[in-house]
Amino acid sequence: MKKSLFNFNNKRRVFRVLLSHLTAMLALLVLICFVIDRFNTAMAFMDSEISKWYIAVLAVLSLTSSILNIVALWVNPDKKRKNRMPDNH
Amino acid sequence: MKNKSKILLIVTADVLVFAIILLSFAWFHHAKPQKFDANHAFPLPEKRENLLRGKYEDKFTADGSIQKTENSYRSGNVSVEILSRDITVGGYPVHYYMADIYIKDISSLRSAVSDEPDRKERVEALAAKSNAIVATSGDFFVFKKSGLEIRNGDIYRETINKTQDVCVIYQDGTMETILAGSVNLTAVYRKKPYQTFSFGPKLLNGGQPMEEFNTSVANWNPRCAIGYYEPGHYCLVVVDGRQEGYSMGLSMKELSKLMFDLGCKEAYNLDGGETAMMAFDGELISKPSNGGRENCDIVYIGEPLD
Repeated sequence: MKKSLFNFNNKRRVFRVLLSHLTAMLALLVLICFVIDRFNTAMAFMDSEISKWYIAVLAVLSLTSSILNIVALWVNPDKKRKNRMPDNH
Repeated sequence: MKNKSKILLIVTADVLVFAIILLSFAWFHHAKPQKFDANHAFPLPEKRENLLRGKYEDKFTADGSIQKTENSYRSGNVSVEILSRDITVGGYPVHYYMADIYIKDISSLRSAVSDEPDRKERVEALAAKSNAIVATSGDFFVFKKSGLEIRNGDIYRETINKTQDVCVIYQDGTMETILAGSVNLTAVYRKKPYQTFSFGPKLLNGGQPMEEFNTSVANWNPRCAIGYYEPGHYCLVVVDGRQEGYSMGLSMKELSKLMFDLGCKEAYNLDGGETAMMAFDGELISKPSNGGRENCDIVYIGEPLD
């Protein structure tokens, strides 16, 4: 099957795409909180209970994403290399 | 072309999901009213001492009758006089209201929290409901996640916000403002707190005006503050602002200077901006910016509790 950015037939691929997008969004939210917390510390944007939960979820998503990436890069590097060759497309 | 529209679709989905995440964070962080299981930890003793110890008797009516004018209230236990002043600060006009308060019983200095489902009410509405003689905005604590909150002797929240100065009014009528990071709950509880506020900043240090404050909103704004002279003698101050030609508001440094000029020994900034409002006898008397807005709590003076 032709591999493209938008091939969602593979469940594992869908999971990884969703994971990446969610990680990026949560990271953006934490960065926003970090910046506005510099300007208004009284609102405790980084210290509140809900912020801690968002940071924890971000950590879990990042960890999962990292593990998947490490596995993909190191477990079967030959397959990866072949997949990148033009005659495989 | 197909890829471009798909990319656009994915970006749109990303933006929508991010908006949902951001709004959910805002809702849980500061829009959702907190639920409190207030613990009546510091009940007032049945027999309470006269805070003023016989001083300022001329401020009260001898027979206990109530005398009201447009800008004053006197009874056997409470004296409130509203002063409305125009001043010029830095070349700009500033208008402020000061309620000069004398009370014999600490139970006259109370706080009320909105019991509406969304916990939001205007100061004058909450004041009227509470039979307040004079009232101002409180510290908006219902919508915050941290900050020591004791109201009328009930503990609402014990979580200390390390970045906020705290104001404590004790059962003996004394008021203390504590710098952020220096709050010792054991020491505060030992002295039996009656009201605490977590907004700030502290405005006077050893009775002297301050130059630096624990706040990120130090520029010109409408302001609300509580001042302390001695047990039984307090003031509530509301400064109108953001209204060119009438009143521009005060910076924190200028508010500190104003509280010093008013003779306060301790002073503490409460929720300002559009929330800064003062109600007297159930009517709004200040002119809040943009007509004011709903708040969740008030500080008020009433006749003492039985």
